[in-house]
Amino acid sequence: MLVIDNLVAGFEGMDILKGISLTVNKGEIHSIMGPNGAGKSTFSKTLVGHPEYPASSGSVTLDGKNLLEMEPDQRAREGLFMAYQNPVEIPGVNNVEFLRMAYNAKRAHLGLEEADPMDFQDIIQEKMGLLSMSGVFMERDVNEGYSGGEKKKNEILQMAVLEPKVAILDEIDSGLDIDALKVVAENIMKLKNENTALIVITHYQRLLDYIKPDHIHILSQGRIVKSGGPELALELESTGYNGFNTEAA
Amino acid sequence: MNAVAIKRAGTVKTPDDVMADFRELLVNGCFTKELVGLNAVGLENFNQTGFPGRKSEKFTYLDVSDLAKAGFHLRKEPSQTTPSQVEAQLLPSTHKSRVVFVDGIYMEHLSDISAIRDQVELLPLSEAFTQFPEIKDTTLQRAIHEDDPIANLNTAFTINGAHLRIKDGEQAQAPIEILFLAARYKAYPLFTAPRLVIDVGRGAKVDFIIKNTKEYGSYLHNSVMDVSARESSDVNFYHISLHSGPAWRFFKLNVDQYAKSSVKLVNVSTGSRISRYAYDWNLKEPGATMEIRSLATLSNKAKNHKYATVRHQAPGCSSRLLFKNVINDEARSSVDSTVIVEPGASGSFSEQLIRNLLVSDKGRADNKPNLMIHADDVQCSHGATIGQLDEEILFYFMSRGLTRDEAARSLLNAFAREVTNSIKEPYAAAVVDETILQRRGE
Amino acid sequence: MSEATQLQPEVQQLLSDKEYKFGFKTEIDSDTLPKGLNERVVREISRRKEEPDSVLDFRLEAYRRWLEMKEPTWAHVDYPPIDFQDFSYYSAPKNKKKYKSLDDVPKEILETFTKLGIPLDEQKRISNVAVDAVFDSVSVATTHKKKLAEAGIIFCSISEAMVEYPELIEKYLGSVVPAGDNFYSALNSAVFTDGSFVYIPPNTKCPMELSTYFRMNEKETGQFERTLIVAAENSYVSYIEGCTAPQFDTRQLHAAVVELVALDNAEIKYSTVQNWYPGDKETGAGGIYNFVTKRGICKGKNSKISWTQIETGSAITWKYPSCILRGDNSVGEFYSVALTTGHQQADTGTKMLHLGKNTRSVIISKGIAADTSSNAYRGRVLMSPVAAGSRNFTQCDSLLVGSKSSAHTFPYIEGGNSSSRVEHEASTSKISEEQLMYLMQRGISKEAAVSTIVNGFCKDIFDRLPMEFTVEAEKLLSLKLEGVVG
Repeated sequence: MLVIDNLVAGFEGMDILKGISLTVNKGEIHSIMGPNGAGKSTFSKTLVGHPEYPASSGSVTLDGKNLLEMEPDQRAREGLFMAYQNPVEIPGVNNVEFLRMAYNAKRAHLGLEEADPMDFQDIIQEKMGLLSMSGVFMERDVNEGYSGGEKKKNEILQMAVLEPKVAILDEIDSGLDIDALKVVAENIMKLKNENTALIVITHYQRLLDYIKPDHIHILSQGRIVKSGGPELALELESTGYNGFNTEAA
Repeated sequence: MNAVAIKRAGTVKTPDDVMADFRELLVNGCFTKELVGLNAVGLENFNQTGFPGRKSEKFTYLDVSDLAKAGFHLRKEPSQTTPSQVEAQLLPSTHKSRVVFVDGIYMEHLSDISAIRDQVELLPLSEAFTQFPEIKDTTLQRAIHEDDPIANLNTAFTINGAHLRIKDGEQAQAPIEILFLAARYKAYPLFTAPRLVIDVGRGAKVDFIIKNTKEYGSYLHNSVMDVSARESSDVNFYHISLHSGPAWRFFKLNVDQYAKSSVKLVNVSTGSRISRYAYDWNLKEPGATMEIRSLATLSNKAKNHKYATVRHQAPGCSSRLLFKNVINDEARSSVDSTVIVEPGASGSFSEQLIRNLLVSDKGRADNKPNLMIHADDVQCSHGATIGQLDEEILFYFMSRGLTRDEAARSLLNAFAREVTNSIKEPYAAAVVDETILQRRGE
Repeated sequence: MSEATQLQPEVQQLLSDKEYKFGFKTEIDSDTLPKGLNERVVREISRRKEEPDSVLDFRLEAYRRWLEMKEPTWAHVDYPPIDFQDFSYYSAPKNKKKYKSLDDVPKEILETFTKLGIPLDEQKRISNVAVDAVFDSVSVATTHKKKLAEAGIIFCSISEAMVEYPELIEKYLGSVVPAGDNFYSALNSAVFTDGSFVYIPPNTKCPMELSTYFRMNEKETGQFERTLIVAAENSYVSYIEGCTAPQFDTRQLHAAVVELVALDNAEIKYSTVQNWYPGDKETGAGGIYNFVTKRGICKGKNSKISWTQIETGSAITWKYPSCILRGDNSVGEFYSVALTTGHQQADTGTKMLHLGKNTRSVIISKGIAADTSSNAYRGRVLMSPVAAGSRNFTQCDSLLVGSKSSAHTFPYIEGGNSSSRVEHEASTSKISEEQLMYLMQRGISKEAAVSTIVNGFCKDIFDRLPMEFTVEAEKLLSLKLEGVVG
């Protein structure tokens, strides 16, 4: 269970998040929606521990452990995962080797034996089968030369391998055409189970046609201005974000 | 006696010889008394090094041994020059914003800043030293730390220079032309050592034009300019040197930049017996930006040397250096530039690019784009190429009906324009267009 | 990659320790000349090695030239003056001067090699790699000799070659790096004690990778290896040099010379993994001074010389493996990774001298500077006026890890003619915060993330190494980067 309590955080000393509180239970799907500049990306970067987006007050716990005291890699090993909006390219680092390293870091954290390259091949094959992915781009370096769609698929594959407790999907729909969006979203739903909670960050309602959230939160000017069920997305569709801004003021 | 010889021609002069010359000139009253202290600093520094030899780090690619052997004359009094002779040399835009040197000596009565009187102060260096001791101090401090032997010769032998100040917050209403005239002196080559100290005030804006289009025969031009660009100032230098005769030409520009200032230099030259452009640049405070864009089109036996040192001394500064050379015949170009990011200068951005078009087998292009980085959060790059016109593009142009010569000229012009397009003063740009761009492809 | 790992368990084990594992000293009597250098010492070295007069003349000429030379100061390195009289210039294990077979080799020496992971023992030996092991100054064993001999290939210590193949030695020794070439090479030429000699006869492809491990043992012994490789017409050889040294408190001087000669259509690939003791991590004390002259000549047309180096050790590295591209259509390559950590200082690069027509050269250099180290690339590309149609491409990238390290680039791009092209590009940057963050978000520690990114940065170069050494190089780099955080 992820508990965010009155989180204040920002960039270059300026508070962007002005007190966010949110509880995400096991297996739930939450969607954070909001216009550009609402603080969506600050929210995700602060959660994963990006050094340029520190929290100035409030708390974030995952199963009772204080995430804000942890380095980004510790948070990840505790089960926090973020699928990036723009996954960075890492030249010279083979994708499978990278995935195995991440997988083994988690195994070591859990006190389990590390997977050797052969074992890991089996694991990755299985996950790729599950996600109906071809193995071609696994030969390449991390994200290097991938198309926008391939990058997003690779993020989801990483999620499949690492089996996080909470996965933040940061604008996973951006830059995808409708067919690719459908594939990515379906894959996410394949991975979704009672142990994995999702926080879906998006500007647009269209992603929610495929990933049905239990809860929707409207983020505006660093605050959650409204929370509700799936119906909120439809309301948003008709009124736009402006309606909510007024409400917040 | 109007001119005094720096003697001992024919053999390489030692520092002692130069010292003896200096004494003789002193006795003959060649120097300005307010500047003699400065002269002494230059002489002392020169004594440490003597004339640069091949092993001198700054002159690896430039042989100046014939300079060390030549006998020069220093003018005690400048040759007679009339205002109309001066005006004939000026751009239409700078008649009332001009700083004139004749035979290396600042000429107060030939200079005229009436168009920019409200924004600019101009004084002979001797007067500035007397009136403002801090100008003297700063100039002396800079001179003491000078390690370029040729610039030290300027300091030793400069007779009188000028001090220019752009007032805080002012924008000079006309570009300022700095004009160096020299008389053709038949018996011996002339030694000229002009000195300029420029202070651009906070938030001030000014353009300088230094232009040299006349052939003065065999002489030594050795100028030094010390520039301080205060906070948020904006300075452009357009340096156009289109004579390509038997002159030795040494130009040294020292720049200190303060917070958020911007200084840009465009240099277009055609080379001479020896041309050396040395830039010593300190980005002293955060957010300063500098740029050098340089084009040399060289032919015959011209030797053209660029030597630049840019120090990033504060965080968040940027430097951009572009040197382009077209080398014909037996001409030689060398570019030796170093960008130093000093400890603590994080967030530095720097790029250096040297591009040579070498169109003859006897020409030569030497390049040394150095980087010395002592801070980690930096983005620095450099590149250098030696090559020829792109055959495929030539072919493409020819397939559209151009002759090979026309195609080549067009490509050479395109190569040049990356530099010449940065000259924003229309009259100066026109001079370059008419000469440089026409000359290419000859 | 996994196969290679299995091939070299020794190497893997060797690299598993965090601290420098090779800091042990074998207790064994040795036959060492007293400290100091003079003409008598030079003559004595030659006498003990039973050399022909021509080699003695070469040594004496070099010695005389050396006396007139000054230690170079242009490199971007800083160290206290070296007292060249404070070294002993000859050291050999005492028992016997030469070993005919492994059985003759003292047990302690074999144990040392076992600790180093050098598989001298025939059973343990890595398949397809022949080792000419150098223990201090005298070659103690050469493996695979027989198989090589069948192909007509000579692979032996240079001492042996001087006795057995005097005509080849006379023809080629000093032909690329002459006696008085530079201060350190002149010193080497005067006092070199041993090294490797390789001759590949015409129309022969060497059937295996040749390899020498250098090992310095005797305290305060200067090491002056001399390697000479000659590839005759239409031949090919790949040679690997690996270095490791024991830990000592006082400086050790290493001034090796490597000469390569490639005749018509010949190819020489020379790979180095250099891991000399870099000195104390905190103070830099006790590290090796590595002043090496490596030069190859592409003498024949269509010949090729390729240098690949992974430089991770030494307190000071001064090294510029170079190619003289004399033959028309010849090719020179230089692929380098130089990692400096702690107090290390490296000034390394290459020279590509284009003298023949249509010659080609490629330089790819990756420099990584961490901690308070200093890492400089210095490279010279010269296009002579007659090198018509020649090309060079250079790319040198530097990566800074931490704010106290420094990275420098000093390229010399010279000459030219109307049909040659030179392209040089270089960049300096730090490890991208975004890359670091991405890896850490996947649960990888910062240290491992830094190491992964640096290894990725060097990948192009590692891929040039013979496969088993790729793994070794990657592990070495990770090992060196432990404790280094950006």
